[in-house]
Amino acid sequence: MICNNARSPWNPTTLRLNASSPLLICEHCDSVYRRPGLSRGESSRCVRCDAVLERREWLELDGLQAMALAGSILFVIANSWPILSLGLGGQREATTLWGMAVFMWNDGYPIIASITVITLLIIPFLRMAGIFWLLTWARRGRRAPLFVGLMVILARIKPWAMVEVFVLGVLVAIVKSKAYYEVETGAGMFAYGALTILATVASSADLRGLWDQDLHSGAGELDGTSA
Amino acid sequence: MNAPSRAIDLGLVGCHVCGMVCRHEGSDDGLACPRCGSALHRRRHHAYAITWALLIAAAILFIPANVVPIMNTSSIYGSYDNTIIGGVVEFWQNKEYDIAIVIFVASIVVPTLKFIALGLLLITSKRGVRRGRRQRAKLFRGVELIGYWSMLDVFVVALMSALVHFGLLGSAAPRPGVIYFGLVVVLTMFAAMSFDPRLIWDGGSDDD
Repeated sequence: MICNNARSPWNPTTLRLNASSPLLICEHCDSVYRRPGLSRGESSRCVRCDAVLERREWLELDGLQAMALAGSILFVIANSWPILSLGLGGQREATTLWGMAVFMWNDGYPIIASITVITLLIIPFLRMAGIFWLLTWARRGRRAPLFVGLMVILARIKPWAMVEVFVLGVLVAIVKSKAYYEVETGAGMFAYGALTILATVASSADLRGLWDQDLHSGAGELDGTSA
Repeated sequence: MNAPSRAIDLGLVGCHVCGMVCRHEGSDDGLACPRCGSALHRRRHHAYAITWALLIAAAILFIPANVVPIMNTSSIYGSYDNTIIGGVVEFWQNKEYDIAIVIFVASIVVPTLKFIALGLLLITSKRGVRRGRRQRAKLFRGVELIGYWSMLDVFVVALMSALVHFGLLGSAAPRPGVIYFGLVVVLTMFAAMSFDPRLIWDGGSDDD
């Protein structure tokens, strides 16, 4: 059979849209399942490869939205105050995350500066703020403006958020410098530490249920098993 | 055990981005998900070639990443170029064993395991090896899970370089090794993403 212009995503002859599909395919091994109904905190696993198929969060819409808002605020704090400051004989040096990236850029390391800004600033913030934006609209039973684009971006950038690695890196830097300098942890460090927890929740949040949300009903469910 | 059917045998394609299940026969060239517009693939195109290419590139860069210094520290006692392994040794000698182990695992063990694991997955899947599929599926998810922790040393170097500016009393500056190292991590992450774990299960029947 020859493919007939499948490039057009809405072509009904090549694709059949299953609105709220009763089927579920394991991403890791291609097994097909009938979608199970999950209750809060439950997750389903693939019998063939043991990957998690679907997960329903402990946090419902409200909880997740509150968390995303808290995360976004923490983010501003984390980036407005210094992460660490070092003292030696009356001199004191401090840096924020942004300062760190600017220094690396100016010192001839634009690749490292970009990795820092993208994985520690842009992507974690986009995820927090993006989830907040999507859920604010979802709670009103509506799809947020830019819904499709944002959902795709959030799914794609997920592996590139590295806040927890950075926090461990700060701890290593503290140990490294405490022998020679007076080390003082800044508010930025504590905010990043707290963000680690929220970022973990945000990255495990399975937002796919939003695709299946009934656009006109009032309170939306996050799990998408209503079909 | 009655194994579940596979999408490829039923003429179904699942969207990796939004989870949509579509029925589609024939070639999946240029096929897009009707719900989110992402490309739909029964199997990632050229998964073997792309993953191998990224993996080999990363393995080559892993050599300068370890040989070239990643940071220079200087004080009144002199100026030193530090490699990754040099930093580990220094922590160990200062009796900071826990930190030495953390850095060693994140910077040396994790990337090495990633090379071995992805290489193993590529070879066994290509040959259609049926033994230990479930274990290999878990291995792949493990690789995805631990991969980004190798960025640890890159962040340490950036932070130290931005902080330690005490003139003659002490200063730290990045060295090119850190670029190689950052690229190794990025490339191995792309390699893991371009591999298609469904390939582990292709070929032959399911009975282990």
